[in-house]
Amino acid sequence: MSVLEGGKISGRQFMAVLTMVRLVPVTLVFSMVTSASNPQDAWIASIISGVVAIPFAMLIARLSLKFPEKTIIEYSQIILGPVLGKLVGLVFLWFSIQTSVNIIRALGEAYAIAIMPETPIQTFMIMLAIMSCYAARSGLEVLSRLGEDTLFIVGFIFLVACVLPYNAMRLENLLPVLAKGMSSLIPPVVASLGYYSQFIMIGMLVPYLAKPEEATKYAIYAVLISGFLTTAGCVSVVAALGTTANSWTLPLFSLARLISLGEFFERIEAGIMAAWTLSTGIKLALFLWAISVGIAQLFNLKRYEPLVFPLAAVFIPLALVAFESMVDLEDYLSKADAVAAVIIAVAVIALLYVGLGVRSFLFPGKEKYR
Amino acid sequence: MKPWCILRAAATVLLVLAVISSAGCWSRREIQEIGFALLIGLDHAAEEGKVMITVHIAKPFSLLAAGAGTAEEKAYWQVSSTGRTVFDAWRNLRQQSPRRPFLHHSRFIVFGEEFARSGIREALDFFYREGEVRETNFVVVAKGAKASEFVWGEYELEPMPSRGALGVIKQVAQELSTIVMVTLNDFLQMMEAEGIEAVASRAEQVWRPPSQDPRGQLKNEVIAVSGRETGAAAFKGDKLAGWLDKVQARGLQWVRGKVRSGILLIEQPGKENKLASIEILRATSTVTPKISEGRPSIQLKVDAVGVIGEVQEYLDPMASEEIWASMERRMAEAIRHEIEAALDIAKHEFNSDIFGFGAAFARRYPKEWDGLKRKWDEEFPKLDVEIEVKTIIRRSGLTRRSMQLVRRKEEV
Amino acid sequence: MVFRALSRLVLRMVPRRQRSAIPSQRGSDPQISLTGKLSKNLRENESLIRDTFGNSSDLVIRKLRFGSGPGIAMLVVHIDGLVDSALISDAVIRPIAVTPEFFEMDKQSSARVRDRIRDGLISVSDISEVSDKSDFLTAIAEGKCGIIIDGSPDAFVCDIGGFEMRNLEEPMNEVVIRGPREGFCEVLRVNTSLLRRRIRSPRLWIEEFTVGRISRTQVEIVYLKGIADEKLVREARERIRRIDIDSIQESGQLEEYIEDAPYSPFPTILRTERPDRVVGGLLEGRIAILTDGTPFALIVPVTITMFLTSPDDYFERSFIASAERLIRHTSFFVGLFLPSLYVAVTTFHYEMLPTTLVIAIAAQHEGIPFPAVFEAFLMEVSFEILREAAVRLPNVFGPAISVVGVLILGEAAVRAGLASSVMIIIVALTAIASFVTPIFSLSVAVRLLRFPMIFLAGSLGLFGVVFGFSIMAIHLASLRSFGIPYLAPIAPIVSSDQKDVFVRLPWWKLDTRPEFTGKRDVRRQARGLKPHPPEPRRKQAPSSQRKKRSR
Repeated sequence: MSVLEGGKISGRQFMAVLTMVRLVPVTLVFSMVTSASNPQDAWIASIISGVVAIPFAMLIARLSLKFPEKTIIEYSQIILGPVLGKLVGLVFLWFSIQTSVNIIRALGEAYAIAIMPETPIQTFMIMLAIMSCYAARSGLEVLSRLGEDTLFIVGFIFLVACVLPYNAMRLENLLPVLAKGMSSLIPPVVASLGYYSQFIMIGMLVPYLAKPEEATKYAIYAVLISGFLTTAGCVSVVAALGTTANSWTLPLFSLARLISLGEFFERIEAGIMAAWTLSTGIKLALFLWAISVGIAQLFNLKRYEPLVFPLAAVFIPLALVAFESMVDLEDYLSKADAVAAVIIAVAVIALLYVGLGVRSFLFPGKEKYR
Repeated sequence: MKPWCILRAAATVLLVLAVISSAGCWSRREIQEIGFALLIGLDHAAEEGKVMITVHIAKPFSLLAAGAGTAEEKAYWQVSSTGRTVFDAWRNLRQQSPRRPFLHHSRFIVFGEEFARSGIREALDFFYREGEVRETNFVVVAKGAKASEFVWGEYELEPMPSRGALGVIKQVAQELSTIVMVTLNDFLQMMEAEGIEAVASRAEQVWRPPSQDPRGQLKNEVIAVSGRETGAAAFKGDKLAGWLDKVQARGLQWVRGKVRSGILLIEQPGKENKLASIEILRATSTVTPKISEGRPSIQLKVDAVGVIGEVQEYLDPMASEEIWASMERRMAEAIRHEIEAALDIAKHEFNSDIFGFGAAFARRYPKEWDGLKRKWDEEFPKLDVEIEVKTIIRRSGLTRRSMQLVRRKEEV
Repeated sequence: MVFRALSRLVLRMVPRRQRSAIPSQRGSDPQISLTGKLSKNLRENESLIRDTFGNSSDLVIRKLRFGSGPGIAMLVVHIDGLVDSALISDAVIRPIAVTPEFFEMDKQSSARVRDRIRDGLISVSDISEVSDKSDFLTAIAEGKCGIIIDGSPDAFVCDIGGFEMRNLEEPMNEVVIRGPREGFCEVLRVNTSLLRRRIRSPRLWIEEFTVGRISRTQVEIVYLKGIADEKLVREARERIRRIDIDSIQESGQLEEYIEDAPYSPFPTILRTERPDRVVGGLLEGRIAILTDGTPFALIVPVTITMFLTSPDDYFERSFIASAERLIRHTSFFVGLFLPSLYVAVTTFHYEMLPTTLVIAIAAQHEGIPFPAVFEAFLMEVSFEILREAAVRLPNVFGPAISVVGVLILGEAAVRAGLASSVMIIIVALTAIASFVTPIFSLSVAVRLLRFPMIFLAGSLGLFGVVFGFSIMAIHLASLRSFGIPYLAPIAPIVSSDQKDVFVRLPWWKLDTRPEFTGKRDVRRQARGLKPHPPEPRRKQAPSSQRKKRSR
């Protein structure tokens, strides 16, 4: 089993890349707010899902640490045997492919709806794919270096977008709290957890950490940071948009449209959109990289680079065909995709842990796997 | 590098170039091809069932010339078009305009009175779904006129009526507080939320008889009609329910806590029939809903801070302790009077909860609100509103006591 | 093992000159088929020399004869113009001529003569022995003075160079407000002396290479032993050694042979004429490569932030220096993105501009036949042509043409309706911003990359700009210069290096060397060097306690 590339990433880069994974859906789709019948409580849902996601991230990190230098594709084959392990790997890959397709479509739609409606959506998808393929081919190290910087930029702009429309914000929009009871929180929590399930990507990243023992720590940081930003986003969106928050297609974009400082600093949402493009590019690059490396490991190929562009070339038509419209995409993301993601992630982790337990029962003493 | 490598690279580059360069032609617009619409007006069209949309499109050259003082013609072009829906009317504008009109830079939306009275829900969807109109536009309802007539009004000091009207609205909202300044975002939220009804700014046309008012020369044309923006338009649901005048509108702003500054006229203590002007520095308000014995009531607390701006008769505040306190009491009285005027008209004439009392209940007592909201139309007029006004007069300006401009002896 | 290490250490301490003769370069000039040693016969040697040099008019061969009888003959050979003739007569010929022992020499004592010379007869400090034909001849060509003794195949060469060279002046392209005004000149040894004067430590090591079969240019790498990474030095050595070319005239040629990313528009090697910049690099653990014949030294490895620093950043106070750094970084982005942002905003996203501005721009664009993209291209290309012309013109015309070009042509273009004033302003601002970059190679890269960005902006607006920016960022992030990431310390973020990137913290805070090059010797200064007022005087304590307190 080969590692397939010599790049090593630092803990901070690892954290940055994971945070981006969680942030991109927030910036584009924000299905937590749109799926909530009570958008005022979305921020509570965000906190709850963050809290639930921490143990999940820790579990994956711990699991990956047991198999140093091996990605989840590889060690699932060790734990569960070649057949079942490959199956788990395929499930992981399919899940990642689904996510990539979602992102591509979401970004294309976001631009087509909001900024340049006349341009055909394929243009945005193709350009995004070119960017991300280039980054993915350059290797994990390059990708995560950029991710580190992009986190600063995007995080800053995110906070700016959340804070600057203060003219339009009224905090009483956030009351009453939990008017419809805790059960109304379930859809947004599930939607958010669906995105946190993408942290199963940790399984692909841990082998490349320069200091693997930091994996758990930085994974938790990633959850915390992205959780904080998401919560801030929920609060701002509802404070500014009130009960209308869940009727917008792109809530964060509509929030940015309200920025109006003096007469001169207005209507800058296109610039904010540019920031989202950077983060989406990083996330897509990461996923393309992970899928290519995963396929290469599954089928014992020597190099993963030749796979990147063809994969993207396949994803784009898939993205075009898979959904009817952005509304369809959002609906899918918050309902079917979220539930499926949570189930898959939980099932995979559970299966792997069970397999681990069974192995140590059947073959005691074989603790460290090389 | 092998020759075919170079060929392949060149082909890729060319392909990408071709894609990119052709891609641009869809969304690209040269800036000269665009007509910037600066305001939007909506009315019923003359024909049955149609909507008329009126815009002012800026004429860049003339605008620059107007700024330089060498204007030959108006800096904008007013054009209207009709259609069965708002979007339809908007698109039909292309039939008249050689440049593609764009709504990105519009600053406010005017509804004609008739149009507003008949219900604007159908029209509003265009404004928030289509991306061109920003939610930071202000919403204005024209009293006693159609929007297309109202926007004829011009203002001195501004070549564009849209900027003129907006300037007036901002000034009044900040310095007089007798107008409600509502953005489209607020307007939509107020309409959608339960327990609060929407308000908008009120604007009227003011005709200036040319013989009496020769100001405003724009190529020998006198400004015949101008606009006056003050007061508020109250909606019930999506229909215009009625108007609030200056006093009532300020009463509404006291309740909403949006009073920035203004003048309260009170009678000077001890010298009735002489007025003092108190300038409001700042004010806050708290609306607390209460339910006692199943009966809802509102406790309204208003805190205001003022400054003595002007007195008509000699005033020496230190002559007796009562004077200052008395002025504060009278100030509070004036405020209360305004609030009651607003409450009165909203409760009894329009029966429209423009203050958001219902929403306050929804926030504080969600369970009881569920029951109340169905009967809010009956409950609202009966709602007990306890008004508590606390006022402080902080300063008296540059003078401690008035100057004794007239000797105490009575002089004719 | 210990012995080997020790012996290596000992050998290291010995200056290289005496260890070997002339370091022979891989493969010599194929046109000169010379193998073998010099002959014992003086006449043969003389004809060899004359033939090889083709009786060049500046070749001077002086025959000396001393001793009794036919005595012993010697040849002193040198190239006129490359040696200090006074020293030849004083230090070479005279000692030989006045040595009493030689009066009795004859042909058989050539060995004794050779020994005598070797032991110190000739009062020149830089003298070495050669016996190889090609070594001897190339030494002569390199400007050394050769001494051949009849009857002995061993010859000597001594280095008494003396030739004309330029005065040391401040480099034209790297002017600083505050700092030394010396720049390198074309003579390698003078340049190394400039470095030595600034680092007077024996740890400054210089390794020599001869590159170019015909030009036989001297190239030297300079580094601080113990600070520079050994792997780096080895890598540099390797890369220079593998060059097999006929001539190296300038360090720029060398650069292209040893750089990491030959196809990238961004330079991965820094070229500078200033010794203070080189010294700064050396102290950070970098290597300098000096080439004879050019004042431009190369510094490797580099990061992109180094291209945006200027030596006077370090000599001015921290506050001013930080402000200047920020301006420079901003100008870098302005020079790269301003025209494309303008095109993007005025073609696709005009809602981003305030209303009055957008109407003003629209008014200016009335009547201009070109789309904004094309207008931008036109103006930018014209400006590039003007700039290039201004460089080539003789000094007399230079300023006049630039004034004419910029002001009048721009004005005329606006009046003729070919461009809008805003566009002219944008182009001018961009041009000025691109001149702020202290190092030319990066500003060229920026200038070139501006054009694809304008094109992208014109076709896809801000999305195009973001796309271009991303591609550039990915490319930069994947570049390495001699093994260190090009974008360090921005990506990967190295917090300990941030003190010298966008701002320049005061000197007493710059206490570590950069992460990637200075790992061997991280700390540069002692702690607690911040200037502060003296400690307050303590009250007089009773004498017994005072005694205790004093050391």
